[in-house]
Amino acid sequence: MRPPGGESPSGMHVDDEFLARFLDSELSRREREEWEAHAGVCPECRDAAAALRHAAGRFTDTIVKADVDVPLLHLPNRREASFWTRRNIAIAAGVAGILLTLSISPTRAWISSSLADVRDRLWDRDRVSFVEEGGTPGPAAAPNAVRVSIPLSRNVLSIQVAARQQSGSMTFHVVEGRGAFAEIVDGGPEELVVADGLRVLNVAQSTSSYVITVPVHVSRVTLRIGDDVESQYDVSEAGQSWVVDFDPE
Amino acid sequence: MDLRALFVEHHEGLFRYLERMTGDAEVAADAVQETFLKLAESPPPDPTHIGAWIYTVATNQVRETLRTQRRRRELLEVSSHRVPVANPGPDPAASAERREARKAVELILAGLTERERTILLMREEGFKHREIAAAVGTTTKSVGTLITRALRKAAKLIEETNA
Repeated sequence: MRPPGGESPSGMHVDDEFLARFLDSELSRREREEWEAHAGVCPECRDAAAALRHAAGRFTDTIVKADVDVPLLHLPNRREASFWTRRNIAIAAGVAGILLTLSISPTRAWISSSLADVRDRLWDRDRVSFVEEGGTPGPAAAPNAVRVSIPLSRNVLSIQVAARQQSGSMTFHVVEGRGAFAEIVDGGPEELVVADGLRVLNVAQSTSSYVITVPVHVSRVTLRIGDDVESQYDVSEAGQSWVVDFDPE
Repeated sequence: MDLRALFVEHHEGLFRYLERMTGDAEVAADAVQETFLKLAESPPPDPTHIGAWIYTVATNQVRETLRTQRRRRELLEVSSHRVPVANPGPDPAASAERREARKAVELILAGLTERERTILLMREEGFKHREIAAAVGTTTKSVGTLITRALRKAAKLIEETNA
């Protein structure tokens, strides 16, 4: 309802949309004049406008109190992205070259073991991912993988590095297979850095496996699934890496 | 389109808007960067409401994150008694007041619908009703009505939170 000029017959008040535009100074000059004339004779609309202004002020005050400082952000640089793309292409070309060499070299075994090192250095990671599309462990992971079945229910999985290795932060690599509904609680969806462990939620609808790769320098981890008792696993038995494959039953 | 000028004009407000919405400065900062990257790579065909476009893209960007965070909170409530909390962050003594304030904001925003949150937080950043309408996909007239109702609802929630 529009403001009825200088009169305020019963039931003729400004509507919510008009009040919001009044609040945000979006009334036209003519509407402002109409409002002033109307507000002069309509205490209800005056009160409604004052109440709305008060509500807006309180809302602003409340959220501003919780504000954090704006960090220093920079405009993303497309050239930077292009650089990384070029870098990745260069790495891929290098790897292709090495693979070609591998297929004909008599020192294949030696190069193969060195490759893992080179790859880790290239990506500045001390982890190796063995995950194939679909969430199943690749052939390299299978011999050393520790298989743990998680029943289809809401579970909290807790993986902790053994106490003596709890110094500093640690990177775990977690990969969800297709159709997964699990939730990695700490850190990002794929990789997380935590002080003393990670938690993964496996929900009832989960139909996929999870592969968690522990950094190569970790030799012992504690694993707990849901309310089960904790189990300790010796990573060194698994060689350079240790993979847990969670398969729902 | 002057990308740098748009970044200078919008990035602080956008960060504030996203941080208020998510309560997570890191998520907000990432979303700001991602939004401007999208703007650089595939700008909107109609630049009339470029500000609204930026906020819409950023809102969509954090929507998934918000969903994830909600689930995370649920899990933390369920499991906090038996799972160690990692990365507690810096000592919060100095920011205790802010944390309380943030908790209040979370309660208030949780009592609003997603559309109401978007509208009120965009309004806080000084957007005109027509721009907010473009961002949330409604008419300018409806935005006015929604603002009034959302503010009344927020006022009630603030009262309840303080009580």
